[in-house]
Amino acid sequence: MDEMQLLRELGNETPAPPTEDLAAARASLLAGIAGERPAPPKPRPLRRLAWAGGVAVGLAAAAAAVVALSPAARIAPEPPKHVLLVAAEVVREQPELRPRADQFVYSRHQRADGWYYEQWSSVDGVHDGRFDMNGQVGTAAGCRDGKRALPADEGGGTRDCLPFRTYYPDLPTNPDAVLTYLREDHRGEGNGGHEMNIEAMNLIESVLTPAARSALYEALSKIPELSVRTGTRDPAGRPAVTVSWSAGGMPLEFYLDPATYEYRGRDGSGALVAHGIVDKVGQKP
Amino acid sequence: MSPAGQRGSSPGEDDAAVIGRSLADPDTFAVIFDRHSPAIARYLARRLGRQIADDLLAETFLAAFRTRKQYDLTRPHALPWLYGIATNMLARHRREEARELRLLAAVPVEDAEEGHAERVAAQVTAEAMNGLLRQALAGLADGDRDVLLLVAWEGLAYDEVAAALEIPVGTVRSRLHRARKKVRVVLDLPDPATHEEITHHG
Repeated sequence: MDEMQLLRELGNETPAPPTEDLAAARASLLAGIAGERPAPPKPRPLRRLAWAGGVAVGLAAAAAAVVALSPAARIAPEPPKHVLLVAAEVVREQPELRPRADQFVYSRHQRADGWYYEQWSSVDGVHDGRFDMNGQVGTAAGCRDGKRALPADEGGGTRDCLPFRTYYPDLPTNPDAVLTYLREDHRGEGNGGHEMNIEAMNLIESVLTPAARSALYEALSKIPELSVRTGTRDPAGRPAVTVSWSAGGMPLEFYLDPATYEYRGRDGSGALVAHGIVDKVGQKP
Repeated sequence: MSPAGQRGSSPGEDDAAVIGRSLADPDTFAVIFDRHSPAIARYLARRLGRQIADDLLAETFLAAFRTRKQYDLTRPHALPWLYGIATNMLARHRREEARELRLLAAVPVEDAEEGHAERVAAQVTAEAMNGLLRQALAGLADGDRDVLLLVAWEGLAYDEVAAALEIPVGTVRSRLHRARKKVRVVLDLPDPATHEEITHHG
């Protein structure tokens, strides 16, 4: 009998704990999970709601964790980030979509538990869009003449606004210019608490020219706080490239198709399972 | 790798898929607890006694939950990762572990010098042998003990231990070799490596 056998016998003297003894630890874990779970997304007409699942929670907290992007911070891409440079090359060759201003971008995100988020986003941000958040339907009011109607449960009336577009034919096609764009305020929030990763997420989910999307991916590869993992899966279990903002209090993670580098979903909202351009809210491609 | 057989299971069912889903749907992580908490609880209890282990079990899984974004989703089986986190938790309780081992060492170990150990071994009861074993474990370097017990008690393969402790496989081998040798000295067991070496070099 050797020492390994003797050790195994010693180990076997400690029986596996009965399931009921694990219950307390399980309850602690579930409480911890509940404490960190994103709050249920609340319909807000001012935001592009596909993000609500993972982002709404940290808006205030993240104001203190703005990604600083001084020119000195633009270090050379780390090895995994070269994937984004490859992606930039691939998407440059994709066909260009040119939706009309009065059309809508339809998308459906779905989580593994069946929760879904469907939306019809106005191409020019002027028209009223619609969302269906797991059965809860609402209007995403467009911004007309600098005013947006507020829903009754937020007191009604109007609020000053900038249109939230979903089509950016005029986005810069130079990576450094895109970085500058990401640092600017495009929603009337002021630059102080502006969150660059949200702005980037907004663009990734939008309709861009192939050249602009290429520049966006290249710009992302220059952001030190960003990490890229390959060989991962999206929330629908499909192979994916996972891009995460690793720094700051704002969790942000999205998925790209490993072959086409198209956007395939994000943490919180789930996998992008359908999308396209339609003429009216309620239509599906 | 002992769990390698599970690699072929349907991709929707392995731990990596569950952890991946838990990124969007945190509650899913309870599945990981349900699958692996018995093994982790037992490991912690073996090393620290039931009382501290009960506290550390929840801490271990909460730490796993919070770091799940760093989980390498190409690894279908999460147990080595969980053992690694549990072992990190243990590190905060090294002193308790050493005390536990010494308390449980039933034989008067101060007499367990070489000549005496030989006589003890000859008439040893299982309990006394366990006491010697615990004494031997208490005398190991922390990293050596971690490797030895993950292999002997938890049945991890070398590459799984390497993944769990984030050390090279070569380090696993050398630590295991050193740990086993020290345990053999305390138990006064023959050294099979000596024979192997002689054979090899002869």
